[in-house]
Amino acid sequence: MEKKYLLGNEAIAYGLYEGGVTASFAYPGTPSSEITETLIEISQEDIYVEWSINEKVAFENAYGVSLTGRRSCVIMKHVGLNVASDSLLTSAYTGIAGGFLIIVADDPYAHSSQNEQDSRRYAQFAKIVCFEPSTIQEAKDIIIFAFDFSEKYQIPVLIRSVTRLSHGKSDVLIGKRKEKKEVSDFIKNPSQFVMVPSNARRAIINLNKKLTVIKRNVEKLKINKIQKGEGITGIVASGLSYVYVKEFLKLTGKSLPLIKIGSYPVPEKKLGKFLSGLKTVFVFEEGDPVTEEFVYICSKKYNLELKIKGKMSGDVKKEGELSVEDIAYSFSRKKKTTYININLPERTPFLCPGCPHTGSFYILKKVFEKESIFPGDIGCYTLGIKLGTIDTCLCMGSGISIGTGISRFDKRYVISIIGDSTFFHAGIPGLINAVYNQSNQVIAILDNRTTAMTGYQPHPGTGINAKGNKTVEIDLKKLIEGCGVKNLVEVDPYSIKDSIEKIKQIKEKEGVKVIIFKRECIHISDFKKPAYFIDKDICRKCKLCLEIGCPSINLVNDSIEINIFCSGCGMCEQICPFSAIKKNEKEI
Amino acid sequence: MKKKFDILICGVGGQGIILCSNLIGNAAVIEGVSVKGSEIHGMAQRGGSVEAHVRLNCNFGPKILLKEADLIIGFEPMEACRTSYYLKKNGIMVVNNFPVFIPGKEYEYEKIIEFLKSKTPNIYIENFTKISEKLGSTKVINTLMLGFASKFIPLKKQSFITAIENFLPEKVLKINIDAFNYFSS
Repeated sequence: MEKKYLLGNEAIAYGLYEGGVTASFAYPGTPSSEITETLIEISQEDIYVEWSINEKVAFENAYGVSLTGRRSCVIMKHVGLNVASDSLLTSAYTGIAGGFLIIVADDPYAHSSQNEQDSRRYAQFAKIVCFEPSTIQEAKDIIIFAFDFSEKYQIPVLIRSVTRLSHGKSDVLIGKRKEKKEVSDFIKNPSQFVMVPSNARRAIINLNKKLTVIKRNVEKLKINKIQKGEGITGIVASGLSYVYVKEFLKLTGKSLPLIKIGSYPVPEKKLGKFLSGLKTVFVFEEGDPVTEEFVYICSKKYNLELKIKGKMSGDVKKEGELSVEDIAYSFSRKKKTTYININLPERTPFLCPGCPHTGSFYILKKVFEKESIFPGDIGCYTLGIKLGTIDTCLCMGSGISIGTGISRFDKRYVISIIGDSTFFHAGIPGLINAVYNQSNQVIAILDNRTTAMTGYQPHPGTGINAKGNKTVEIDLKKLIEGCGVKNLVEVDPYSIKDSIEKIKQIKEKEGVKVIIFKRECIHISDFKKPAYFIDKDICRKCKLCLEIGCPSINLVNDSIEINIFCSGCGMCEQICPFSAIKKNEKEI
Repeated sequence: MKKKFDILICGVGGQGIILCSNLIGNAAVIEGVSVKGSEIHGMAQRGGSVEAHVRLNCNFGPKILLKEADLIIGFEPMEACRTSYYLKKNGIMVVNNFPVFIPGKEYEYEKIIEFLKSKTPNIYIENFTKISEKLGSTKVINTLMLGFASKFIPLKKQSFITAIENFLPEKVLKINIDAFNYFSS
């Protein structure tokens, strides 16, 4: 056994590897992406690893591998589970063959997401099992156990991580890979795997029976444990909250009875036994009050006179992450002061210097009227909110269809903005629907040849697969033409004037118009050009160059300057009417 | 159990803060010291604040508690100021005196430096960026600052060196080792 300092997501990847996973499927999404990246790194030919087009497709692939008797997993961020939910909700009905894990990283505080949804709800909804680890070492270890558990009960198991676990770090003990002895390949059994109504009605009865057995079994699991203490006030904690509680108890020298709940279904008997004898109990967990609801159920079931202090009673913060300080606050109602009497403006993210999206947005603003509507989507380009070119953002792929809805009645120009990876993920049905139902809108696909926001993962349009090997490149243009789009232009956002001319030609056409802005993300391109500077003798301070919104161009003490982060993309040079923006001689 | 030692490292995306925290974590593992940590870098490459926690002799959570950090390594004065409420009473602060301005926003430089100095008597403010330029690349700012701060961290110097050797690619190894050793020679 070797010890390593690992990121939570790296440890999860080691857990999958050691647990004998045969195939792994994922769509990138913060805070889950490093799991797949680490798997690619640590596995050789022994594991099949794939970036799939979206989470639903990834889920079904992993389910299919499981049906061949092999161990498989699907990895995603919490909102990815919404995409995969159709398959998820019937997967427990059929059951599986090889161990099947669904690794989901939730994002309390929405560090990099559109919501704070709690995946434990999905586990309940889908009638599957969920394990929630409290430490990074436990996350690694529980995955190995979960494969056995999944196989034993022929049920998918969801592992719930959260941002602070996935992006936390710890010394972790690493072990050897356990190869599964035998695999069976797919065994035909239509009454089990074909969910026609007659089979589904029988399957739900079997599933409920299975869950009764599982409920008994979780009572013995190590992931649920009691730490004895003194007094009539106790604590129930799930996930990371458990280690926060432990630190709080150590700091305050308290010795309160403590139970850690790490499985769903929860061990009701164990919890009931723990609660009897207590007068007050605090419940700490991140996300929804899922464990807390079980405390209410147990207190009713075992007829306990219990004061329950948690999110539902208002004693614990409902939103965001918890911390040791939050736990202390629930007990004492006193806060540590952190006030600093200096103006410290936030460093909010912006589009990088040389980002092709900056050009795309500038071009669209020049072609379309100011009042135009820009339904947006999820990716780096959501930062276009600062440039006034993102008006909605709901979920992956939503921009096209929201635009179809708006344009049906609002007669202004509607320009839906979507990235290349997002278009493949969930944009295609929206496009086909818009064409089929004769919508009158523009769809701008910002094709930067990668999944930039989550760390430059490849996608079907790049011709490269997860392991970096060449594969078939899906031709975006042909795909869109195949969807029935008649008015399609492909432009280079670095060529401002040419793009404006080309787009003007299709602007007034009836129906769905598609613009592909094609230019590699500055971070993956080998684009190396000399940086620019402003010739102050020529500059008339008209400030037109500031309109583009490049973070390298700034107004400093009433003069315009280009800072050292200039990438040399040259977009600003094309805008300056006085040719005051000039190239440096040296390459950057 | 040995005494805990909490280190907070902060700055702006691109300064090598995550690598710096990984080097400390790995040095700890080399010595068999238990270690936890976390990194928060929403969209670091796109100009955001970066904050990494490293907790030595810790078996709890990934986050340092307010007013509990033994050492703050600030790669940027405003970021050091922003995280300064984590510092425990008379804790140590090592700050790079090289402000990174935010486009279109005011930067109260004098006030920030004054505040930092009033925060703890154990503060070391230096223009590490300038020194790293002299050493050949601003990219070695992380190993340079780590080298300076390492004398306050209860780990052996050799463990850091081994961690650097294990972690960094061959071609930048020498310049980083030199940067790490800059203040001890």
